[in-house]
Amino acid sequence: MTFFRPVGFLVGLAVGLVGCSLLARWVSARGYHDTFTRFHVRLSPEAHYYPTIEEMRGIVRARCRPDQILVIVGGNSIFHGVGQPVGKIWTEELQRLLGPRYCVINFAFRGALCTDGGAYVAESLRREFPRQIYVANTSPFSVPEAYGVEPYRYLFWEARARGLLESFPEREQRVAEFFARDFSVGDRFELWGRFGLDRVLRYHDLWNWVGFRYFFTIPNPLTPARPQATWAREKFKDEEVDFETIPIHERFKAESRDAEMAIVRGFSETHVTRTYRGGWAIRWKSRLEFEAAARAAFPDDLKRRTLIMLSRNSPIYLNQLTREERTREEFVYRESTAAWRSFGYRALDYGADYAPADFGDRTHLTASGGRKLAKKVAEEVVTLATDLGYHSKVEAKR
Amino acid sequence: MIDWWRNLLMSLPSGLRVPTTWLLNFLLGLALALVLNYVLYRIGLPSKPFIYVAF
Repeated sequence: MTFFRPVGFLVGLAVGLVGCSLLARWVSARGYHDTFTRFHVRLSPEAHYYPTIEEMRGIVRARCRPDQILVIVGGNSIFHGVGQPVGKIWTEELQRLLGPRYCVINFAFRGALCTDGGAYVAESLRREFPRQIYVANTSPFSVPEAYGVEPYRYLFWEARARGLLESFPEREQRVAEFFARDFSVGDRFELWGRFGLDRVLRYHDLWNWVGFRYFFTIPNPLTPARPQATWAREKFKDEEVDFETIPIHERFKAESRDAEMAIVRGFSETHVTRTYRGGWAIRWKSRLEFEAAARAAFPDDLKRRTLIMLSRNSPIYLNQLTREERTREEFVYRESTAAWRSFGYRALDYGADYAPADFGDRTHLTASGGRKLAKKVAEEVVTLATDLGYHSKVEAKR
Repeated sequence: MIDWWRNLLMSLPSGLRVPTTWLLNFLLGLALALVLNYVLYRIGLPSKPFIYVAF
């Protein structure tokens, strides 16, 4: 008697792979983050949790109705709300200010670019949620790479492999240059295999769901030992520190002053050169690198619904700049805003008039700073929504 | 282990042996699919976690 039946075995293998893929598609599309606030530290690459593009799209579908104007927030730790615990996150205030006609989702990640994470989710949902606004922060003349930055770049490859992104020449050219510069033939094959296979089998979607809902299987520095190491990620609450509970003198320590001032000066210093008349001009290298990237960062039809906010540093440090450095700082912010606008983006800066208490450190905002940011962004979002024809001016005032 | 399975199958009534063998092979395929799915997930993750440093 034969005990091995290859046909039975292969049918089982095929059914298993197809079943896993279908299950992953089903749970991801519906969304399984019941109380989503943001991808906090234990739901992020820092804890070996890599949210997938379908998982993020599922969060939007579960939380937002198609009749609402979708506002996706991207960008870095400042827009993520580092130093703002649940209940005081600036995007929660933004939602309150915008009201129920809008749906605000915070997809900003620590250390991300304005083109990362949330940008791809918004773009991939452009038909499902045609009334959408994407808001993200950056710093002056920071290069907005079309393919994002590590460790979040996987979201770009994932969305691209699944055909969720628009194809347009500027971005394709940028990606082709990136391939030619940084990828060997083997690297390209690995990338193609990894994301092509996942597109079909959806193993990342499946195991993220299992890890979030039932048990986690990846050792990581944030939960190195059992039992926490294997706990379902949904058991971990968003426990962000509250900057406002830390005295201001402890937030801005004297020993880190010189290092912080060097960073603050670098915001403008690295991008300018002196003119023969004694004024300032943007270095051609900074401008060209920025322009090439900004052109390819978002598809043309989505640039006009994109709001870029240029983040300022704390006045505790800005007030220590010399008069000349302040002039240079203003010049760079003004030029950077104009550069973004020249490509069709909506752009402005924030933070110039904030008080020292509005900052938790050199760059991150406290809850009070977050409220000021939310107010400014809300005004701009409503104006943008009106300009885009999402609602009338009369509706906007209600 | 193989002998144990063989003895188990041989102890079944003759009419049940073939369908049971098919069923077990099918389940083995299912289990392997799950393991393969997980292995692909694990090898797709970076070996070291991202350490965030604010600048």
